[in-house]
Amino acid sequence: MEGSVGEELAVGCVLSLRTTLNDEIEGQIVAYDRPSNILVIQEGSSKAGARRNVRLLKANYIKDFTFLKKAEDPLDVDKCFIDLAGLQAREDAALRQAEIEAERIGVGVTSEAQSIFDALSKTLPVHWDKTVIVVMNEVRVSSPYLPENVTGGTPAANDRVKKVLELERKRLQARNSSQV
Amino acid sequence: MPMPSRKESVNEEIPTASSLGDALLYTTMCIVGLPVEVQVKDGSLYCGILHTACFEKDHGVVLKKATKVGKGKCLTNLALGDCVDTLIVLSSDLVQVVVKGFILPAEGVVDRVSGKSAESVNHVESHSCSREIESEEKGSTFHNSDASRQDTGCQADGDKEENPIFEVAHGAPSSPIPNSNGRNSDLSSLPVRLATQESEASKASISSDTRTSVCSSDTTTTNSCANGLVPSNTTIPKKIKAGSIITKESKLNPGAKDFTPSTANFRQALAPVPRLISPSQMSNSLSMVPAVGAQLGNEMNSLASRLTVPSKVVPYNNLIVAQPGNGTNYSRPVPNSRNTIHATRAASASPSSSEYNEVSRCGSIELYNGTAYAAAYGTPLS
Repeated sequence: MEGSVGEELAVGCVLSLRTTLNDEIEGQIVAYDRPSNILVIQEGSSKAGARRNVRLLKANYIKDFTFLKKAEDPLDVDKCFIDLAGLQAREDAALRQAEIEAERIGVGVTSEAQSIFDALSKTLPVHWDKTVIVVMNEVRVSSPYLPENVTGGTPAANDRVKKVLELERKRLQARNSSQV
Repeated sequence: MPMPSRKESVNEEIPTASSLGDALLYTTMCIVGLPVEVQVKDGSLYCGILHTACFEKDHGVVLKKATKVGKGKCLTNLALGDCVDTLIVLSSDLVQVVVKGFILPAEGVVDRVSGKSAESVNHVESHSCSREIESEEKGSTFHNSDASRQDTGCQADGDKEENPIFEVAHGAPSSPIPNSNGRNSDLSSLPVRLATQESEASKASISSDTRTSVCSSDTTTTNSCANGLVPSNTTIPKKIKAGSIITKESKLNPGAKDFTPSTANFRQALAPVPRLISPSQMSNSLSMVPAVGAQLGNEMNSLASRLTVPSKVVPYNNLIVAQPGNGTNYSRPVPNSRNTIHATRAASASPSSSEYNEVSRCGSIELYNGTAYAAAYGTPLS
């Protein structure tokens, strides 16, 4: 299969193939690396706004494929260049973003607590302190995250958090009841 | 169906193995830093930020902040939704790597990162290079990019990128840039080789942390993969915008204000260019690079050599959990619960639990080999 696939997978061709894991892919062959048996496929149409994916697929996981049409080689390595600094910066930014998003997730908390945290975070600056939701760096909401569990902070901040918490809990309850 | 020949600048040879490997290498480089999905042979799906990849035998793919998003057939102790800091997927277990919503640039990529999510890089907007700079080394060319890109490379966080993402696909029309001579048709090909440099790899493994040796069954080959993507003697074209040079040179040399965009001037400006990239900025996230990441050229090699990566290898529950000093030292005012959990778990095996308190939530490396390990955290109890 590997040898025959290698002969068949001409760069630039548009194929429709199915993997052994039952993924159906349709796209243009951008590159084929024989030593590693990796196929680079650009999915999607050339229409503006269409979501296009790039797949690096091991050819030995191709179950079957269908040749759709022949097209030009989309990649000219002679004209390719890469900005290493930009790539590094992109990765750094992605890692930072992932870090920020991971901070939003509580560890050892219930899904209800996480939902409350997510709801509070829409309007208030919040972060986790173990299982306690800290709002505006002063007000603390501990389990079971009821209005009476709101402590700390100035009276005004405390009241504000309580009101927001009550409102968000009502919303969550209404949403849960509507889903049921 | 015969393999069509690629466009060659001079001759019309049948594409060589190196040129085909270049295409894969170029593709891999283009998707570094993007969120990708990796599917392994048992059907499991992992989503993470691509750190590096080498598809040669016994090498693999390294994801950062990887989350299991698809369950496979094999039983693993990495549950659905679990997140690990660094996930290594060996090439033998790899099925495919999917980058969603991404168009492979046909003629190169200059990526600028704004303060927004990294997903913005997937949106394609076409621009042409403003200038080229002929390199003194092996005829490789330098290309100008937007001024803020260099700054972005040093200060990616919080910068407001006014210029759109730089990505050309299939010769789409490009907006003119002042003093631009257009794209130089004499661009040299991407001078990268997939040669394995085990000597450099062994040096890297000694100087860097020992995570790789622990997590990989073949330290030498893994490190050679880490260093083999781009040999140290290989130059890779850089893109530099004239404006950035003006800006930077004015700081370095006040007398360099009368900068006229010409090739000769760019040659002179070539020397200080590497210094524009702040090692301190890049080194923070390069702590993992020498261990398991690819050496992305000379610059990365030099940056990696400057890294000090304290690491510990701690046997934990039949797992090998390495505790590197995470280069991404994002300060947080509140101690994170993950650190606490991680420290608690590791304290029994660690001579000093205080050391692990400094480890961020991202202090673990998992190696997928069909029986993956887990240092799960971040999953709310249902």
